[in-house]
Amino acid sequence: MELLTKPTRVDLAAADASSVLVLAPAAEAVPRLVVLLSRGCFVRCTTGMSLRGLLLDQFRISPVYLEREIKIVFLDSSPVDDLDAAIVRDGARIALSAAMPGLAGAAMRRDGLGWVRASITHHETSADRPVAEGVMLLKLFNQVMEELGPGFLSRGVYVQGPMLADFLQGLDARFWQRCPIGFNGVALGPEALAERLSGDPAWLRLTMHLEASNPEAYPWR
Amino acid sequence: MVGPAGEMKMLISNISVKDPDGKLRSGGRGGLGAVMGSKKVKFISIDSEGAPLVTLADPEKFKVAAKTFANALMTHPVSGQGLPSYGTAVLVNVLNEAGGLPTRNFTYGQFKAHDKISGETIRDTIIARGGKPKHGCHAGCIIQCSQVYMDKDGKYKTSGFEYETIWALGANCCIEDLDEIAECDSIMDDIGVDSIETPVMFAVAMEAGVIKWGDGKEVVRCLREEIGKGTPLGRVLGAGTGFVGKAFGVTRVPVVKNQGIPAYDPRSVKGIGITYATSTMGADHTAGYSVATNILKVGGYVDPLKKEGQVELSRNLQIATAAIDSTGMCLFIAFPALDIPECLPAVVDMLNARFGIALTGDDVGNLGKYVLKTEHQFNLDAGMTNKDDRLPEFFELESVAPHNAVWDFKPEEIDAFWNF
Repeated sequence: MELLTKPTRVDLAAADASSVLVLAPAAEAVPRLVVLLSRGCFVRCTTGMSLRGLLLDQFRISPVYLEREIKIVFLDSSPVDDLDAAIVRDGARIALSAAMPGLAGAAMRRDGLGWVRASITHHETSADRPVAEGVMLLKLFNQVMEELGPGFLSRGVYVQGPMLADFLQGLDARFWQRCPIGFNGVALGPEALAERLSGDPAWLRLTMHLEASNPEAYPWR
Repeated sequence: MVGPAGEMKMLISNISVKDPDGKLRSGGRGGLGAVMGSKKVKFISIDSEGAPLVTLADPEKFKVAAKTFANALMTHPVSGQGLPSYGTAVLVNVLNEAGGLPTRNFTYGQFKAHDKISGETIRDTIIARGGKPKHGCHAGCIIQCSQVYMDKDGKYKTSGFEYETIWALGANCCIEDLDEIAECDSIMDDIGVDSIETPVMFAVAMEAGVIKWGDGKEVVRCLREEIGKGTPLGRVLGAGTGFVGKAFGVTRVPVVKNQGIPAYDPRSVKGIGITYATSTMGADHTAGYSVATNILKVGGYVDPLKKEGQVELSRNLQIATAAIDSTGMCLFIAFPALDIPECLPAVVDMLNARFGIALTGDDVGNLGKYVLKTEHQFNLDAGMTNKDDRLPEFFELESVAPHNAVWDFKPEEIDAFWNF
């Protein structure tokens, strides 16, 4: 079973204050880092909005991109057909994907054969729409991950140290040669980073800086 | 050609052919390698030198139709983008999110290490190691959903690294190491066994305690040393999922008509469950692939909110898929055929231009019906009954997380499938 623990407000505040990790991969290495979003990262959000409102207004996804490219949307592991009816609450789990192959792929699509998976489709059952600052788990898959992932990582996501360490250990030396690391404003090597992350279950804020576009952003290099 | 598994007439054996790069491509499912083995045929070699070219009854019409068809394939987001970029394993993350990725021998619907075996991670790994994320398995393929996977040293390991194989060894056997899964895939090609049936069987063997969950190294050893060499244990494993369940007293045995169930949990996606139950060769996900049933006119209106709708859909998809299969075309043309109106008529036009005939969409639909009925009659004549069109009992008794869904189709509802 896949279980992901949600960070508390205290966790987020602590991460913002004292566990800030900045990775600055070269442009060609960015696709390797955005794969992290297929595992899932937490982002801050305002709750009580519709799913469409979250995607368009908070995530700043264009309406055209949403209609043309994001064909599959999950809320709390259920495929969503009606983005306006589905409400985002604190701790929600949201996943976005392009169109997928096969009957199963077609069944998951918003404009596909949704009735094939009617028993798992999302149905909004509560009128309760608490508006508040919250946090949600975001997962991005396939082309959507490649196209939207850099933006989310640039704005910052929250992850737990051991989970991030597990992901980063799959990246080889060639990646790290082209990716300066800053932790709380201090330069670190990949080995020191791995050691620090794997032994500490605390949450941290991860931000990606694009090396070519903003070289002054990492003076610790 | 067949490998040692086919020579030993194992029920998990398959028939392989060589792709344009000389690597093996396998026709799995159904144990056809054992048929060649029983006839003592090791391989069939075809010398094309001096053979006549393919003739076209109407070359100009064929060219126009082929161009329309190719454009449809290239512009569709699945056949033009998703599959060439990530291969069929692009489904891993999405099915996991839906709770439809069978895990630990169909016990759960989600796998905690899904991202480690996903199409996205495979693409990333292949590029980093200098492999090919995009590769055609036959001459002239324009979808190119195959790929060439390299090991950690950048040397060739396997190609055609498919979703079903990766799911079955990954989520269903709980093996998290992609390189171990690739090693298994390579050995399965070498010894000539079906890469769905074999890992589904291994999951049952794991449930029985023969192998530890997630022990990829032991699976590698069993493939090479037991199945590949035909030891007594290898012969048991090589007899397939159903036999291993009986041999070791396992009750959660995912088979229909003694064929292992593929990578979509029928409790979460019930339309696929009907196809598993009724497909004539046993649980076969490709029998009901998405095809434009409305264009083929084999459908008619169904109420999607009722169970009859699911049965009707599965029937129409199986009829349409049987027709597409009869053309010899790759089943992945189904995706643009579903969404792009001019795609399927272009296929019919190509057939007409090739042979100088005048097929219509109705004719193609009728062809599919004829194929399906003939296969069904073969099964009846072989002694099968409607009781063979059933999913294993555990799908009704055990709910699958996270949606706690169960299989709830009654026998008479499934039997209505054959009313056409």
